[in-house]
Amino acid sequence: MTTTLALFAVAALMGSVAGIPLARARWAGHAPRLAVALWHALCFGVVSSVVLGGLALALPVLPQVITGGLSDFLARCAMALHTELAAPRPAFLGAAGLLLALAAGTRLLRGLMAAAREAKRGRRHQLDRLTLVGHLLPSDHRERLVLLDDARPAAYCLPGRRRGRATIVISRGALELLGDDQVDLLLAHERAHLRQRHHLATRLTAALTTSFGWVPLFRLASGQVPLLLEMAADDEAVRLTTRRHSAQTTARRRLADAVVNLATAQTPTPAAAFSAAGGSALARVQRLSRPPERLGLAHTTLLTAGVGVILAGPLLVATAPVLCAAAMDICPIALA
Amino acid sequence: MRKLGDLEALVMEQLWASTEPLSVRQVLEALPTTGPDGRNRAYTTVMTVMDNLFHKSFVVRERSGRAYVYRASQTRAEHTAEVMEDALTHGGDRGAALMHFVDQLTPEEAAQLRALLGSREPS
Repeated sequence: MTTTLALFAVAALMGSVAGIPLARARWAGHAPRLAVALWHALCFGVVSSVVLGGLALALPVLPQVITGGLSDFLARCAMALHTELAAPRPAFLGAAGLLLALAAGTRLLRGLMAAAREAKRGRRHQLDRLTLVGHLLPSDHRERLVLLDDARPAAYCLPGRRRGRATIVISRGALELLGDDQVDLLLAHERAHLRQRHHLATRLTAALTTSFGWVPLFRLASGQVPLLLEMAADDEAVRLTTRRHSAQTTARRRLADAVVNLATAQTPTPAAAFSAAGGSALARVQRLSRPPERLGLAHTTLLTAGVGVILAGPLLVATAPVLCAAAMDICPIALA
Repeated sequence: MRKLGDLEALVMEQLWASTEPLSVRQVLEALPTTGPDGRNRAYTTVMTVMDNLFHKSFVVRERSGRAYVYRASQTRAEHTAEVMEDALTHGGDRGAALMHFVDQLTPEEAAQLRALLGSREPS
């Protein structure tokens, strides 16, 4: 019971307030990929705490549910863990715990699968038509580069399951608007999205928000993660297209100009306010206009450790009674 | 610069170039006689491709005697416009089907960006 309460408390704390300081953190723009890792760790922490908390509640009931080697093992273990696991509690609590764990897990999986299907359909729709009207441009890279003969400026990438199918689309309007060096930066930015599989990171937070939109952490994450990924792709684009360190300031400025030119040339739409990464252009331009800032080693180490603790924490809390018992030599688990 | 893809694109080229609806036989005769592998193109291959195009609603067909004749359901420009609109309007929301280089702006954001641009010296 204590385990479950502890895990639910962790989930409630992380799900409600943990995202607020992270959304405001200035360091996030200095190390966008680490910030994305932290957002994902927090999201995973909430889900795993709820699922493990539910399972911990159900554990004493499980031996009656499952028969076989595992149940024997669990039953013997449960006897040894009398303080935590064999404390008297109504069976309906155990059933409720199991149901909660199953419901949360299934709901998330179904959300992820629906998002994947949706994405596949959207890409199919694009690729079917691009095959007919797109012009394949020569490219030195694995990703296909397709020119769309349209005066409106646009550039985007279509992730593919296999890298050979990943496609970058640029319109004639965008090519006319940008200088050659800016086109190189733009293509490197899109390649960074494709190679670092950013669409999966976005999809995860989007699916969490679709499935559990009432959790404040998930809503914050699905707003912040796309912006952080744009920043990560900007950094990678500058890194890939400049050999000398001294050229980086110019490259950042040119990339910022490219963002401004493309963003202001597109017709503003009120509907954009509802898109996942609304407002990212402004933040990116401001960031690229400043000199690059890096996170210090101490901060990086601390935050990386934080990611690890958040990822492993719920599992450690859930297994703490078992681990204690095993260490006390009462439980028949052999700790090799 | 060559066309993306394959026979589907070649077939559509023929249909877009023609003022009349075309039969499979007519499309086959208008195509270059050999495919990329150097072998003659089979009637059934072209027929399959045109059937696929029909099921994707890219062509419409009607009976003419014993065979079907096909014409493009949209012009090339209309197709291009549709790809662009799909990408610009809701491409990004579909479970991250595609990722834009810049996101669509609200009118307020556009104004802020222009102000920012105005405050900077030209690069």
